[in-house]
Amino acid sequence: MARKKPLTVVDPTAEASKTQAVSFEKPAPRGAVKLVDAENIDELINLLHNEAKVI
Amino acid sequence: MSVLVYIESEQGKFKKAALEAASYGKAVADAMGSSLVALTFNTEDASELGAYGVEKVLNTNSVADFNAKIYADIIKQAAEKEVASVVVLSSSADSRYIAPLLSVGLKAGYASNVVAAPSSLEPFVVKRSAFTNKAFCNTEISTAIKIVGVSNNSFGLVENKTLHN
Repeated sequence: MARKKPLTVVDPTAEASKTQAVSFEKPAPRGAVKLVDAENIDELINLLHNEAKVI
Repeated sequence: MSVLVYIESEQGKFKKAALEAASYGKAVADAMGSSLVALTFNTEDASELGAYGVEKVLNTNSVADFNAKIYADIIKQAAEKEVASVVVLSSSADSRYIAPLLSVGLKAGYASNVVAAPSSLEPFVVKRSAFTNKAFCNTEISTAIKIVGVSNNSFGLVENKTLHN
């Protein structure tokens, strides 16, 4: 069946690039890790509540 | 001259990515000092688009099911009718299917995965995510008509409520 399929040969055409990469950049680096002392629960809660706003 | 945005919908409801594309289109239109025109398929109420800065809506009900070639041809006709210099699409599977066909039809450069409004209009330069989001590429589109594929959740939804209150 595949042999019966017509094969159309098309001449290639010259196409100029329509887009161009001008420059690359990296994402902003992540901030420094903030360590909270295990004894200092109040500060941890304060940071989670006021800075991270997760609780 | 205008900015044309293709608004994708499902069962008459606009997709979030399409509204993000409209928000992006509005930012481009404002920067260019032109107007934002939306193209919708099979929708009855397009008033929601007004909140995202769309000033004119073209709708067609002539195609029931998605067909990339037919959709691309209709978007091409709309872009020519509205003399659009920028066509904005989302990054959905359908839009990614349409974009290259539209690019060929309009002889327009296409930038996919765009994450920010153009940093420059002359030349037209957009920031795209590259290398699976590990870097960004600033890409210049040098054709008269530009096609921009906005990356999902990159630009956000920007409502222009002041226009419609």
